[in-house]
Amino acid sequence: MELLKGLDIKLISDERLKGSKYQILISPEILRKVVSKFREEGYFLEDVMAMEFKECLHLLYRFNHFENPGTATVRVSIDKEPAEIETISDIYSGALWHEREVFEFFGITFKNHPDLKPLLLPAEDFEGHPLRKTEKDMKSIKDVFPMFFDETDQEEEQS
Amino acid sequence: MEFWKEDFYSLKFAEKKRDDTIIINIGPQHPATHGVLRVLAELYGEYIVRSECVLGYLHRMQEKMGEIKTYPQFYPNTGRLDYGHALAWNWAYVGAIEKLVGIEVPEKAEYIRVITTELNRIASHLLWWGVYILDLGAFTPVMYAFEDREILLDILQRITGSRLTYAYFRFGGVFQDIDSKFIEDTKKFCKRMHSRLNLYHEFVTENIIFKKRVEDVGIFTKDTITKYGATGPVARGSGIKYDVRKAEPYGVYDRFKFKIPVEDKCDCLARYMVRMKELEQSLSIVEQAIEGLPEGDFKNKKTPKMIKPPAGEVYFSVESARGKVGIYIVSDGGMNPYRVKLRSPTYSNLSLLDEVSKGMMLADYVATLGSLDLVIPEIDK
Amino acid sequence: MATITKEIKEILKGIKSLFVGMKITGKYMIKPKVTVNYPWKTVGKEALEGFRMVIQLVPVPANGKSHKCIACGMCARSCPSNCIKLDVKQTVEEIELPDGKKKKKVNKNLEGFYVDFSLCSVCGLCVEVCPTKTLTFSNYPYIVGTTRNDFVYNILEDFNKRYGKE
Repeated sequence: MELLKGLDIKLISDERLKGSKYQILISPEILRKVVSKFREEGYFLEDVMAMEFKECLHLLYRFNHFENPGTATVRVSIDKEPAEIETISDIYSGALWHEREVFEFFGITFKNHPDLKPLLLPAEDFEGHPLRKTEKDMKSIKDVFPMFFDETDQEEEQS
Repeated sequence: MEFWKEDFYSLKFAEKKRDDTIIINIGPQHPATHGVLRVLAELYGEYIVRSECVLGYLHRMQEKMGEIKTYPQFYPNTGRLDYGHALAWNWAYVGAIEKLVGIEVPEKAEYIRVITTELNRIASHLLWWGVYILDLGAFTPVMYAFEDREILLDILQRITGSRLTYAYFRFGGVFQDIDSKFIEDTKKFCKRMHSRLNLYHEFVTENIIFKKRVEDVGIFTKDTITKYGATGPVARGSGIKYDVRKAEPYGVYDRFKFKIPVEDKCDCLARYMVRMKELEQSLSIVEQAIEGLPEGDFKNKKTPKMIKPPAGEVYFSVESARGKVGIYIVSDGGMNPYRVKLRSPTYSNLSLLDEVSKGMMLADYVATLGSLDLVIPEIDK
Repeated sequence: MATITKEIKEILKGIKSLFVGMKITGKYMIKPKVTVNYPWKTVGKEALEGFRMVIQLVPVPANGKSHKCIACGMCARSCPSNCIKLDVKQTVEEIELPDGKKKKKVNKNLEGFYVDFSLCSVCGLCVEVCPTKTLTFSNYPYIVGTTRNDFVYNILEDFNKRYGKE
């Protein structure tokens, strides 16, 4: 992808991940640089969501373009303690509501968000984060998405 | 009574209150908000200084239900998300699972899917038209719209079994075959609808009271739409030509000839004209599909009895009457999904109203809210 | 001058549009009604064809006298809201095969088939998965009750009433 030349990203193409034109795996420090590059080119923000695995919390940002269509998915993995990441709501204002929803369902704090309060759940008397899983339902990220890791890592785990 | 000192959202909203303004509550029980939507507004006379939407009155945890139920058991939930255009959400879920597992759909079933989805889009736009004019103060057009809509719902009820919340598609085809009475009735309906649309344009679109109420009100610029990710007629009324049926085609939509109406003026009248022209294009698609209907099965006979997809993910999107619908499923190889995410178009469309409403008059706010075409169960999933 | 004539033309066009609207409303006032005055009149049987209501057992083949439910339980397992409860009596008997060996045979007898309609979402998953095709939808919508338990139906009893003792 020529848009992100020069940045430290990893492009993944595997036939088990369907429906998205580009799958881009990055680390949390360069998130704001990547998103500003998308904003300059005229991409629009479709979605911000999260998933939970045994070792980490996995975030997805989805972008699309009006003139050359094709979804570009940006994937970030963060630790569970502490669960925080930079906000992108000053670049894309649509992320204001999406990040509030991820905060109340998973407990991820977005730093420098102007107004982080619950969106869909009642704010006065609800405790907890509903979409987190119990111990016996959680799976490891290496079982569900093995293509994110190099083959040498996988062989070390098995032996 | 100072109600704004009583609950959490009003207290936070009133922290920055000026001395010469008043805070009021629009909703959640209100005939013009199309569902349970609450809006906190700070007013200076008749002008809105600041407004904020409070959601969550209809939240049912659909995404958690997706992790507890099996793949066929979650399917009826998709008909209850957007009751205006339920077949679009049905198609998004069924299409996602077919792509993940690799099930093929016979050609006749694809044509039946296109015909029923476009008829449902016409019903949704008719409902929007009648209720929008009712918000602006006219009491009779809603009766004309409902007369046409009842004929259409009778046609769909014979085949699908429901009138509003459909569960008609299945993995690999549809539930029941169509017969010759359906084809005859649809042809008669399309002929009748063309003359009725001329009647609607004659007595509503040319009316001077309607035009003065809707013209130059609620301007959404192209930059606002890109920042918030709005799609559907809201984006097409501001000069952006984007329709999922032409950009990323699914099913057999690439075999039909239809245009995408786009207007440039960015106000409420432009969004109104986009939806009326879309009605005519849907009628033309239905007529073309009925003429080219092939023979064959209505369902793939080799669909597996137990759906157990391999580990992976899929994202499938569909154009509904309100915008771009997306369903994202992660599977870990078991009987239940690992994560289901529902991307609803009205959620992104409504979020831009907080910024655009600064400096508007209250009556113009109600007209803009109606032109966004909201369905609240889709926002509070 | 040109702008003043244009303004006057716009005003006259606007006033004319108001009269056009009144004329159409007046025309529709003298046409007959399109609605039905429920509950003094109801829509006929033809208008309810294909409508989905409580599930029912039907005889297989269509002109026979007995249903073909084998109490397999597929409908109860595939329901997303757990509405279906089957009352099954199981007996085990020993039969003798022609070559002298003895085999155990399990007999399933259907005693009751309970459907809780207050939870049903008429999705059709039970109708689709039935292996003998003896479950279908009925289409009578005027059901009335005063408590929640009024909507728990025993459709085996209903079948026996309609087709005599089988």
